[in-house]
Amino acid sequence: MSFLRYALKKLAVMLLTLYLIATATFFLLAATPGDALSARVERLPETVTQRLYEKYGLNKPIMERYITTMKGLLHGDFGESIIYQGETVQSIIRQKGPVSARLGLQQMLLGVTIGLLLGLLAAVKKGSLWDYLVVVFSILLISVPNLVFALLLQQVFAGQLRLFPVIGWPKENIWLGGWEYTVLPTLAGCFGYIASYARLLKASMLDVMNQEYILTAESKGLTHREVILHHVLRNAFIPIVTYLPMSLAMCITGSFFIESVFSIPGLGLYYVNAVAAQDVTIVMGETVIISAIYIFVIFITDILYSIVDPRIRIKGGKR
Amino acid sequence: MEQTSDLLSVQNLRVSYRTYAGEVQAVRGVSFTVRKGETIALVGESGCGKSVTAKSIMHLIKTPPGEFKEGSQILFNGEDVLGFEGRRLTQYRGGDCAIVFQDALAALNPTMRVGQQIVENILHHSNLSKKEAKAQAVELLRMVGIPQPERRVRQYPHEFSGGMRQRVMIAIAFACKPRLLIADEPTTALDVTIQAQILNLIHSLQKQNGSSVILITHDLGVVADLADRILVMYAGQIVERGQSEDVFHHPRHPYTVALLKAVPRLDQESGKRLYSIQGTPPDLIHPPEGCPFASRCPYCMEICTREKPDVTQFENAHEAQCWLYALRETPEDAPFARRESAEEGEAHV
Repeated sequence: MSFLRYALKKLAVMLLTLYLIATATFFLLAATPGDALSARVERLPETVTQRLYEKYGLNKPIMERYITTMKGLLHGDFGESIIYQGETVQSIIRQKGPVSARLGLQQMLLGVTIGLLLGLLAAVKKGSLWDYLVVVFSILLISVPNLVFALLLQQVFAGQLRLFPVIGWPKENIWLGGWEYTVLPTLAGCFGYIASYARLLKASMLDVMNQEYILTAESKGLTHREVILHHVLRNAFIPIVTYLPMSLAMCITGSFFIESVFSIPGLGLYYVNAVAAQDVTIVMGETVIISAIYIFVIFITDILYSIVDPRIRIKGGKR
Repeated sequence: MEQTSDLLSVQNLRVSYRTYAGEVQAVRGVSFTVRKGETIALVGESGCGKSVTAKSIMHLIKTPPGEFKEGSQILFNGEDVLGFEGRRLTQYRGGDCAIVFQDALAALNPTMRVGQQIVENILHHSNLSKKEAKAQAVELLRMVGIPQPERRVRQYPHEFSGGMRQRVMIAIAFACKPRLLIADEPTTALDVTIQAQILNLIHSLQKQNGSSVILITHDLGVVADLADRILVMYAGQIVERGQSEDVFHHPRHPYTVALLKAVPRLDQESGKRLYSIQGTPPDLIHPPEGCPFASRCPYCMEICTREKPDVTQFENAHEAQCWLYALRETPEDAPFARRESAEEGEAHV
């Protein structure tokens, strides 16, 4: 009963958030000067222009367009792309989504694994040379934009050593094939994960190591190794677990820089292009769908939290 | 005889901490012994070095930032504790010597079931199987008076009340029948009604196991019945020591007198303010040259601020470190002689 109420309340807040995001996106797009057709209009005869404007409803007053858009949103109809005829947001996500998702997942898997190992090393060997190396390394990785790494990797491994293709993406066997194309983009994008997860785990472990229950564990005569494995890690992972779903959501929605440097036909690149071309239906659609993913992920995070940390249990839930 | 019955001997223990402000001399030359089966109370206000002494005995001081000064020695059954390493250290901790901390909520791992926290201690110090250790954990919980222990072992610390949590801590501490238990303010975080229960529990388990206990507290009233001997600590040093009754009924050091006056009493006149010791303990980065209590002492004399007093011996191994006795030939009852006037002074405050 109580859990149902909690879930319903959460759902209502989620929907309201989504509505506000959609509204804000709509008016921000409407406020930008010009529209998707204005670039083409000069070259077209007057009657064609008028027909185009009528087709997309761009000549109607803003409130009317708003209501039409919102009505469409209710049953998942975001409208047809103004630039690419016949395409909808759904069809574009179906085509480009897997590309971005594979790239993002590979980056995240590699980056998070290395990051956590480095964080563990830095925390366990606190104050040693290893610790300083990890700190310097992660500050470097966080401060240099991944675009720079992407270009450097291209230059060295593709240009000079000719180990991997410079640009491109596997066209067939979209999830597993053509791995040589994916190596450089994966490396270029994983540095951010390495840096943030190394720092996160280190900070979290050091925080836990200062807790009194670690002293209790030591006073039982457990070895340093046992204390780290049985007492520090689980508690130190609580912030990590809440961070992971956010990273996951971020990684599947694509990265503009990496995708453009390596000419990868992913969502990130497409999204930014759509914004530049003022393809309002696509921008609306992608924004709402990506926001929905994020909002859902936050909800999942709340639930995950209660699994790792027994102190946080939803009130009235099973004890 | 004396030699063989000493379980623990702390000699000239000096512990410092390096901080950004300078070196804090938390413990400045503490010496005492604990006999088998004996209960020692270590009394003093916050920051006087009681807990650091306790952690030193468990060899739990992190170095750095902590540091044992040259000449510090802790002997457990004749063995040099500060020299323990590796396997001997992990056997000693939890096996020979156990500790109960003040705040059980902070001292129990929040994400580990209570049973497991007891089991890991048992497994580490015995050859029992996991199953046997689990059964023993249930027995331990029953022994410390937790109802329905079979169900409770599967719960997490936050599902226990404050008193129950401290019972769990005690169960962990006694899991391997330690010869020495250090109870670091075990009742401070608890309701007054629970305090006596917890202390009695520690006392009865101590009798069962024949353990020695070092009871650390800032509340002299708590220890009067339980402790055999009382050590009063101030600013990292022991200023008075003696048999429990002697210290309690005939305190010698003005600090002990003040501590006793600060204990709330039922027979106190209503409406009268509770006595509190004015001022704060000295800065241990730059400890004073003379008696550390001089700046707060109602009997402070000129010499007190200049030179450290020697230890004065009274009958029955009762000792105090105070100029009031070092100067006089007949030291009897010195604080009491002037106690009346001190109280009159207090009444105006």
